[in-house]
Amino acid sequence: MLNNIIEVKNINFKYNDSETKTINNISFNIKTGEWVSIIGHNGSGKSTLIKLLDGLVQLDSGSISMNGDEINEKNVNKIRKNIGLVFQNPDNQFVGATVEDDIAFGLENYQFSRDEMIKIIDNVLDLVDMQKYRKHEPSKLSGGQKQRIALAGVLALNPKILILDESTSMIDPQGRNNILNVIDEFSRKSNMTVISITHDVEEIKLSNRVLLLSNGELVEDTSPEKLFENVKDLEEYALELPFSAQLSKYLIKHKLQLPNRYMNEGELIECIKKLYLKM
Amino acid sequence: MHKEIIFKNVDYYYQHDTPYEYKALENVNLNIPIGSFTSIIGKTGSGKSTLVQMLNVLIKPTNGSIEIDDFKINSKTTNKNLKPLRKKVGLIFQFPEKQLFADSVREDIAFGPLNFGMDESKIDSVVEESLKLVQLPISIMNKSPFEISGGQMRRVAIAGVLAMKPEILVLDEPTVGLDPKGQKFIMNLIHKLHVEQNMTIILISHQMDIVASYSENVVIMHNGKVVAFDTAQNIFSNESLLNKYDLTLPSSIKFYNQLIANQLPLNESVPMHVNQLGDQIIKMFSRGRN
Repeated sequence: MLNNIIEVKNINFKYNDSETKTINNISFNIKTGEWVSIIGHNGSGKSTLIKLLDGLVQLDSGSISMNGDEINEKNVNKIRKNIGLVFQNPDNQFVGATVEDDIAFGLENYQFSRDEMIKIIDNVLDLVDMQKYRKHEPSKLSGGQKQRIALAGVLALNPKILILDESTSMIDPQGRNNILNVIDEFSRKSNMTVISITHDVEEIKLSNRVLLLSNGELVEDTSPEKLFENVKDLEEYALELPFSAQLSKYLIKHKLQLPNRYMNEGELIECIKKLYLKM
Repeated sequence: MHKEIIFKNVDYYYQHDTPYEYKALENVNLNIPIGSFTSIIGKTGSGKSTLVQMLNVLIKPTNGSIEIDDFKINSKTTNKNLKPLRKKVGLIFQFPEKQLFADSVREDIAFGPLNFGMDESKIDSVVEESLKLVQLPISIMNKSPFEISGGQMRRVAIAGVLAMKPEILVLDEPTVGLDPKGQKFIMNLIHKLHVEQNMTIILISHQMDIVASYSENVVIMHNGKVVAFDTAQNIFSNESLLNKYDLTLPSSIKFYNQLIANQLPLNESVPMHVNQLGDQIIKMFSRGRN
């Protein structure tokens, strides 16, 4: 198996009506099975980047390869079959009259027998904990439930690459953690690569790697721990500081003698404790 | 305005009288004080959105009734004469920008007020005022709502609701899909409307840090029922209650609990946001050890 499932080289992209490039000379590789978070402020180019990866819009220059094949007009449909894309707002994605019809619809292009289809649908509805809603109309479900169904529909196709565009944003935090764990397990089992656009600090911490975009450029390609250490002013990129960093900042502003570097929660507690015991 | 919004024994069934009928709300009894900032929390699918859609009579109770000011809504209520109520209660849906439709921002914001009978001559000043509230430049007025950024579209959609000058503002996950800076902007705006205009705010959110920071009251919903209603302070001090309904603690309280577990004497009620926790820690140091 190829080590890099995705290779992105010097890509550029500009929308017709825009004066500036939405994607400005970005290069990176993603390894098979890796979980990569893509972060950055609204309008930084995140969504455009994943549209380029899925071949929904075409590059102005540069190249994107999947499994060693460079994406072009001829092979884009074939390559896209490897990719499961879940958008933020699943209303735009539903076609079936019931939840199970909707998932079945995606499977119909793949020559499964009826029994196989039922088995797959069962399995993915279990995964996202929506079994009891299989006869429900997707449009009548809550935002978070819709997101679960959209995810189930994509997992049913067993994609090599799962791309999430803030696809769990409306699920409650506890439910989101469960879903992220399900995706993680699924990814380990089938060596599925995960690319996820997110603003959620907890989700960023879960991933293997983080790409930070700003104004169409890749400004940081690093691990989650390093990100919080390296990026001096996350807020400048419209990102939220982890809670421990917010608290440190407030305490330092109020003259508590804390080191001026990123500490995770455990480190900050140790630091406060030491300081207190020294008094 | 009466003092409370009253839900009395409210049930709601989706796909009523079909084989797929299911109960989305069950025997909801709830009194929300007018002038309060009340948040509704609960797992995905617990009935939160269904509940708030009733405030604007987008759906009516299958059983039971709702009282808002002089209006009493039940299954028999006709859609006639609801305009004054719908003007009073502004409802901002999930992804409100999906509902933008007009050729210009101005037209979109003006739609509601015109629909509620506002005089055409007053429209421009109302549109300008609303844009100011959501801090968008007046020059955006003539642009198409589809050529501005997602964050700006969200603000235009909110401006359209504010232009109707609602007394009660209901928001269903207003910050979803915005970056943290955009989220902060929207929450500060809602807070301002509450404090400066005494607007009643009813907020649905999954983000416990936001709920704890801004709310006075919190409602917990579970499987279509209201299972708790109390001050935010009381709700978030009750960890076993939150655990029971799979809800997470705000970050400030999680951190506070860890400090307490490490024998640090904070000696105060649980902090609702990061600055409150910060103040408690500073105070602990200024008290010194004894």
